[in-house]
Amino acid sequence: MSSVVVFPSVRRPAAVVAAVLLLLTSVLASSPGRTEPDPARVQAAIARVLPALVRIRVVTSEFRDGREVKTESAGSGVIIRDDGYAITNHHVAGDAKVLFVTLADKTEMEAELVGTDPLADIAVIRLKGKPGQKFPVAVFGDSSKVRVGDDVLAMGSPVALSQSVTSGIVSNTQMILPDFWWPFNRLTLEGEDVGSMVRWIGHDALIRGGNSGGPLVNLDGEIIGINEVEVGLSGAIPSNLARSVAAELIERGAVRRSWLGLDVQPMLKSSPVKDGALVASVIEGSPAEQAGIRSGDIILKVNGEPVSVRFGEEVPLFNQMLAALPVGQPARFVLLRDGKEQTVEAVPVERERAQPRQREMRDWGMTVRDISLLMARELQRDSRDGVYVATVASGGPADDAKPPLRAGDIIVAVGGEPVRSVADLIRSTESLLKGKEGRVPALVEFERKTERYLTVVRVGQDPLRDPGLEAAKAWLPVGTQVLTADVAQALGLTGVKGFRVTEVFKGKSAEKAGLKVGDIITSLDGEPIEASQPQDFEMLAALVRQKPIGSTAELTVLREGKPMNLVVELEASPKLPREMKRYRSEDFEFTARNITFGDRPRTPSGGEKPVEGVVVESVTEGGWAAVARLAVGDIITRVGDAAVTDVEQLRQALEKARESRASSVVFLVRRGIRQLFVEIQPAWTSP
Amino acid sequence: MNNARSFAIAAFALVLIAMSARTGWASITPQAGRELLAKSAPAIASVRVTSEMVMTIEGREDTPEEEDIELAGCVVHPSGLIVTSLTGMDSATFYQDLWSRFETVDFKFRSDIRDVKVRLDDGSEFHGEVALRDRDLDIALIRPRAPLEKPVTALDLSDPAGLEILDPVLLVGRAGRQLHWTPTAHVSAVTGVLTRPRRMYLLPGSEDWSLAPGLLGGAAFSAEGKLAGVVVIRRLQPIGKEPAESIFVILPAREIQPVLSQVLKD
Repeated sequence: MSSVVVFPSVRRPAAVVAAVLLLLTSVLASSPGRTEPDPARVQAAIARVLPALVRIRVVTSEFRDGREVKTESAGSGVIIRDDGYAITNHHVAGDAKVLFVTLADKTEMEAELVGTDPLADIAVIRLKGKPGQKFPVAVFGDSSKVRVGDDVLAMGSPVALSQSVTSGIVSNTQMILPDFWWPFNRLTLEGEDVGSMVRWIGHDALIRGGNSGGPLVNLDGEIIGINEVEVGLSGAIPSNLARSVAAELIERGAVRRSWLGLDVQPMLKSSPVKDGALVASVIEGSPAEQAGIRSGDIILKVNGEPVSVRFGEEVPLFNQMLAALPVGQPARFVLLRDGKEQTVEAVPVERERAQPRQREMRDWGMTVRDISLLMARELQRDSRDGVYVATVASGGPADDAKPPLRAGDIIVAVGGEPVRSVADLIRSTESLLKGKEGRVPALVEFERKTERYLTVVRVGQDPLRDPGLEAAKAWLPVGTQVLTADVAQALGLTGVKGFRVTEVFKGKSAEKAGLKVGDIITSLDGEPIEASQPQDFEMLAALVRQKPIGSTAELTVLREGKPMNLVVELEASPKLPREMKRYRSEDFEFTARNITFGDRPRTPSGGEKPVEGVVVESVTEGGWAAVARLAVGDIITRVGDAAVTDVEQLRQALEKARESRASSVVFLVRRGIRQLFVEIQPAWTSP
Repeated sequence: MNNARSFAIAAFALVLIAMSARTGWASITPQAGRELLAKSAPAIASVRVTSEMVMTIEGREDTPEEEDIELAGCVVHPSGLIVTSLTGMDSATFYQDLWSRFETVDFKFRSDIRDVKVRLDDGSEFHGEVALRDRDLDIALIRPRAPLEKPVTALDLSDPAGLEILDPVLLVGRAGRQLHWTPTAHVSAVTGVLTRPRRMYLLPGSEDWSLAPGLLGGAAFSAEGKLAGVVVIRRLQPIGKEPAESIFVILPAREIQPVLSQVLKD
């Protein structure tokens, strides 16, 4: 059941492959017949919104395995102010490190995150246009007027395609995830239960991964929703909610909501009371508890307004009403308790995020977060003091400690000093490591459930040097195939065993010794080579590898049926990629190494094609090189005007680019038989 | 991808547990085996390798996944040099073989080692680094990143035992940290002697391996108590469309000496 809920932003690349396959299969499905809307109205509606529709590429931070990891994804958005503000989903852009936006006219530009709200899954970004640039905008419609059966258009970038439109009707104006799906009927983002606040507009216009954040549009060309989920039906956040959240994000950078610390559920079927909201739980120490509200109370009115939560569909509206109460101002609740009405006053406080953002602590090999009030309560703690361990890196300092730190532990002291927050932990780490090298032991006190532990963590980084050396072995610089019985017979060499030379590497010792393609090697230093089956293919190389490098070997060879002896010097086997000198660019976020014998394309006669350059060995996902589509295996031959033949030249070229702080650097790259220009735009953030 | 990776991990684990030895008719008595285990255990270490597995699809890297592998290693020099199975500590090879059957998409796997930790029989630990790899023999030589304070007990490679088919062998290894680095042993027998392209001793396959974890990278002793070799993986290269496979073998100890010399020379 968990797989039925999909947030349609799109991850790459495996997700893209899967999404494309899904898309292809869905092509076969036919849509049910219905009265088609007036094409002219549809065209007009599209024309009103399409210019403001944006495709968004995002480099996002994920925290796992004790580290912050960058990933790339894509989504949609729509410009709502002509100075470049666009609305999208939190799950598209809320954790963005870098944002690129493609406009409908194909122009690409950077954008920045203005604010984000995981509870409503809404984020606002601002396009970094030219000074004074005006952008086309789309306007919001009134989602409260949407009716089942209305024609709608879903606009966005499914599977990161360019701006696209699908059509359908409104299927459900009160869509929630049904109890039937329990326990998978919650959509949570960073600890926030999106469904507690959002009641979606369900529709049947097709949306896929990448549509997230794109507008749902009526035939008047107005935004009536922001597409968010695919749960069998497509689901959009109603525009009235999205608009108010976006306005606050633009104004304040965050959404200010009230919090009382109570949960309600629909009235029980057995209850004689029909209207009201049943209080299910009251968080200890919350304003609701301080006001005397108890579990089992029925809320009849809030600030004089009657309330009714008889069905699950009404819970999000009630929660929206509570969240909209003015922070710090007493709210009057009329309650029904034990059959009697009573009135209490509760003073809402400002709601904080369910889970504060994570942060990587590289010197500890873990990611951590502060403890929110809600987290503290769920952890059954009286205090919010401490640092919550979110993830731990295998083999890192936290994992190496005895006992090891684990996800869910709460660090409360380091070196005898209390640690109340992540900021405290950062300070104590800096103090611990100041003027020291390698790892420094620290006595750490932490909570695990109800127990208090002590451990010693050796804090600090000690990166592994992997020389990557391979055992040096002798090498006969030829390519060979086993002379199978069939081939031997076809060549008139029935009964002969050995290897047929398929390639002689140019300029190497085998060529100098006179070996030729077609020669049959039958013995090595007088020892017959008993190879006659395909699975013997390693035999000659293995025999050679057992001899010293630089020694000579006498080969018995049949050439055109005549035996001859050739003496060949056995060279050292070519260096493997792992052994080559490499260079890592932190600015461009890729690693390259010197080219090996095996990297160079060769002609059928064994000659090497003169390719000079460096081989791209790794490209950090979400890094600048990855964003520019530099690929593993590419051979970089030039950077700007400078030719690159080894990693030292690459280093010099990239350092020169750094000095000039060039806005973009063009790499000339060889990929297979083709050549292409890769334009990388680094951030130049480090000194 | 996650499902596929989980499948791959599970399959790798199955390979690790499914191939090995059968007890029964071997002439190594339990008492003799225990004595040999007690004698050799100080030279059998636990090696924990933490790596980042990176999958590349058509040149584009996916997000790295963390891998944590534990296997046994044989101390072969008093300076703390350890020999273990290269494939055993670098599962990228296994993934590559598994995914190679998807011929239409260019999947590549790379394993970047982030940390190597060695735990010795006396409970002492040190951080190691891979000093040398030998793909032919499927061995990696691991040396301490900083010199050890005192020499450690090492296996004697100078007078290795030769084995013949059906010879009994005692496999000695060390379990990982979840099993408290317990020394493990298993009585087995040579089921075949591979001579091409080089001499290796085949071991029988059996579910029994699951009873004795930590034997990969461990030592194999003859019935006379002499070191015969190290348990490594022999990758069977695909012929035609057959998929690549891996089997456990004993690498004769005499093959290790030249590689060890290369490291000591440095």
